Amino acid sequence: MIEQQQQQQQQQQQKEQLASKEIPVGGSLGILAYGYKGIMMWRQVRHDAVQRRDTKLSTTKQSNEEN
Amino acid sequence: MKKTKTLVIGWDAADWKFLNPLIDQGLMPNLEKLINEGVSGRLSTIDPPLSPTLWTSIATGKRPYKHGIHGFTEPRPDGKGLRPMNITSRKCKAIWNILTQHNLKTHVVGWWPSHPAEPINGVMVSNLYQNSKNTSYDNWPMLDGTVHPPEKAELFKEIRVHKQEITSNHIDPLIPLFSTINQQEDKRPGMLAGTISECASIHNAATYILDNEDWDFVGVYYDGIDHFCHGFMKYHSPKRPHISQKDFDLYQEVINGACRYHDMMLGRLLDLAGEDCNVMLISDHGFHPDHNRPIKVPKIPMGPAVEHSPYGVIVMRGPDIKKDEMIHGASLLDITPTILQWYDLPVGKDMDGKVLVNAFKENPEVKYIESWEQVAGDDGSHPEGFQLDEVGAEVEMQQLIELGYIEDYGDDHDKAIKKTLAENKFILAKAYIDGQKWDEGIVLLEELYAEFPAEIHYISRLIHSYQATSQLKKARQVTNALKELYPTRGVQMDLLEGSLLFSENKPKAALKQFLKVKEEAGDFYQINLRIANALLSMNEHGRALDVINEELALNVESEQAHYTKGTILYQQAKYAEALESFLTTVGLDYYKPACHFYIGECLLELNEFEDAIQAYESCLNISPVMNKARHRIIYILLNKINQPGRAKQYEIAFEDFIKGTITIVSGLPRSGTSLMMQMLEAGGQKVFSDENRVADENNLKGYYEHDAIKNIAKKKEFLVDANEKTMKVIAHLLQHLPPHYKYKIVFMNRDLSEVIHSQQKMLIRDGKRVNEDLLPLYLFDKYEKTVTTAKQWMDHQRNVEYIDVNYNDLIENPFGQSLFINEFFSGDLRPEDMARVPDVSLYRERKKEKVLL
Repeated sequence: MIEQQQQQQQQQQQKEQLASKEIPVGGSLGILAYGYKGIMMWRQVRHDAVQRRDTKLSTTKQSNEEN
Repeated sequence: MKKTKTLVIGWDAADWKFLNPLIDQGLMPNLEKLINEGVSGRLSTIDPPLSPTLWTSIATGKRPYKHGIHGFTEPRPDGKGLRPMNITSRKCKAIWNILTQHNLKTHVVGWWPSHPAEPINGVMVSNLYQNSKNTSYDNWPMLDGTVHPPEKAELFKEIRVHKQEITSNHIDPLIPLFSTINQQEDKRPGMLAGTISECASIHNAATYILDNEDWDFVGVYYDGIDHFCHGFMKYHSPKRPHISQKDFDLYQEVINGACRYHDMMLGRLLDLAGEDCNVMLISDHGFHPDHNRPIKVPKIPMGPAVEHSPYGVIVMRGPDIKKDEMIHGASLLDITPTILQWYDLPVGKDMDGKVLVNAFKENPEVKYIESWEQVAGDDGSHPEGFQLDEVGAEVEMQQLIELGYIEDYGDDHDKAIKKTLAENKFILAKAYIDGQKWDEGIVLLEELYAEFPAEIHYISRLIHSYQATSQLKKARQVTNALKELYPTRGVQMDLLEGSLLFSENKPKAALKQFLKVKEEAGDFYQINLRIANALLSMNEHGRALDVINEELALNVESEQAHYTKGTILYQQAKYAEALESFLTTVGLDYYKPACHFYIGECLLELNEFEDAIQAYESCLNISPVMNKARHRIIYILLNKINQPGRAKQYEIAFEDFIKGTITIVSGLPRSGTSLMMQMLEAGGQKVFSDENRVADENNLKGYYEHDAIKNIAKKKEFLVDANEKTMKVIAHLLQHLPPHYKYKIVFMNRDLSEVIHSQQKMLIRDGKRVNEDLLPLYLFDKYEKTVTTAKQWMDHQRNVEYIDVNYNDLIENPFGQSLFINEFFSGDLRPEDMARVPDVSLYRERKKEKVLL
């Protein structure tokens, strides 16, 4: 149980470390070199960015329509 | 078995020549750290340098003719075209099969070839995993058989990286001016993106396994450096004259950037693997980054391989491995034996490699078994009759065509099959020749020549093989046919002709050809080495040394140049300097038994006896049949450092390597050797003679010779047929008898003036002008020296016993002499029959007194 907790803590730490590297939407060789975890997080960043863009687009469209 | 963890990382085509400058600048910190924490060196490749062949040799410890992967493709079983050589074409166990049999958690990623993935005790991700050609990010299927176990296929499918995901952020570090490129016109950045993504896919699979699976062994193979090099090494600095300034400016950083990308990936792997495991980083061959880069890649199958260099890299780290040291003489055949040693598992005697014992802190005790093939149990290989997935085969075929390794024959199945069978035969022939199995290789090349008499790369290899095995008549015949076929083929033909002339012992004519080639083509085709060897044959040591130094200024890592320099200096009796050159040679390529032998010879001359023994030992480790080295060790132990006890074990080993016994009749020409041959034949001995030289007035009862013996200095294979027979070898050729047979020598002695007169008579009978009243003194001296040298040689050989027989005694007392000879043969002869042979009437030459001064 303790081992599992330690492992989870470790994984969380790694995730935070990677997150603190500020993954650019365009990715980087460093992110690729980090391996599968880097890719998964980068894809999440891309996904979030697309969502933000879509939200922004729809907000702009809405406000344009309102104006 | 020892429980340990091993991570093997394959970087196809990595070469110190382009890695070292980056390490020196601190741009590859992870590789530098690995080097500092372990041992590193060059890894010599084997011929032919084709990646699927080489990586299978790495994984099996065996040469291609044993493991079966000798080509990129093979005919499909249904005869309808080709399919890639795949993991089912492999004929023996790979390291992962052996480890699976020991229930070790074994994972393999991307190894070439490894499709379809084998059901090993762990995850296997095949070499078709990363390919994203002709697909889109949203529609990128993964072939069945790509991942074992199949239930993990979906997981691994998701962590692949598609080339469409690659952005300018990834490309800029490799092509800083990427934004200026019009990608509609220039497809090279697209190719680069594909390779970056493929590396990332492999890396993701490896990092996932290291992070989530229990593991005892992980082998991961990255083909990226090879692909980057084939695409962009031509633009690497220094700029070459035929490369445009624009291309140079755009692409000169690709190789450096690719290496740094690999260094980052390496860092991640090492982090995940942890500190206490064994790590091995290797490449199967190198890649020329310098003046050796070819201007054009030949458009023939295997053409791209001309860009490869014969040395890859090896770095090893682990609890049992030395730190921050260089290792020398490693071959890619040594990888599997060394991995087995890490697990304290025995090495197969049928493996061609050795354990890299010099890398270990303490000399490990190496265990052996006959063969892992005979060890039963589930080894994780495909079951018999396993069928290959046809779709996967198609995808892989396409990839090979795009890489330029194979030709696209479209629907012309017959042509494709014919050509493929021929190419595979050629590759197999090269592999045999590389493994010193000349006869097997030549048979295949002759078959190819018969079928494709105009295919120059088959023919030139056949000519070289004939030359290497001293079959010069055949070499000349084929060369002349080739010259007729291609009368205008300039430099290549001159080179071939020069090389053949050199083998034909015509160094002056050869030199002329070589100088012509140098003038026309510059410093290619190892031309300086050829010139130096021609000069050396002409005893022009000074000029030869100048040319070799010129070559070394161009190519300081040419082991052949260092070796040639060593032989020149050795011949000049400059043993200390020669030693230095030979040591440099084995530092560059350890697998040179002759060079180790020369090191021993130099050390012996320098009275460094223990070191000389070590050098001869190294020679024997590589080539255990070299009884000559064993003989030298026995000589030192008995005569120089007085250790007869130690000599005993070598004497036993010496006997072990004796293949048989050959009876020799020797002496000067016209000393009665033919007579003795007749007597031994009459006494019951079988004679080894080709009867090419028939009886004539000079030798009324025949010469009893064999043409092959004249060439014994270069070719000794014929001795197999002479085993347990009697053959005639004139005195000055005795020293060329190899030390793996026992020789019973009957040495004929005759008064030298009689010998010379008899020779003069013979010349006169043959129509030559000779003054028979005069005895040429210089011949007298020369023959005396020949006899003395031959006897000294016989006295010093462990495998030689001899008796002196006097020709005059034989004529005067044939029966008495026959009894004496019979005693030497332990009473196995029939002396009464022997005694009937001498015919006093033929004893024509009597001592004459006149001497020519």
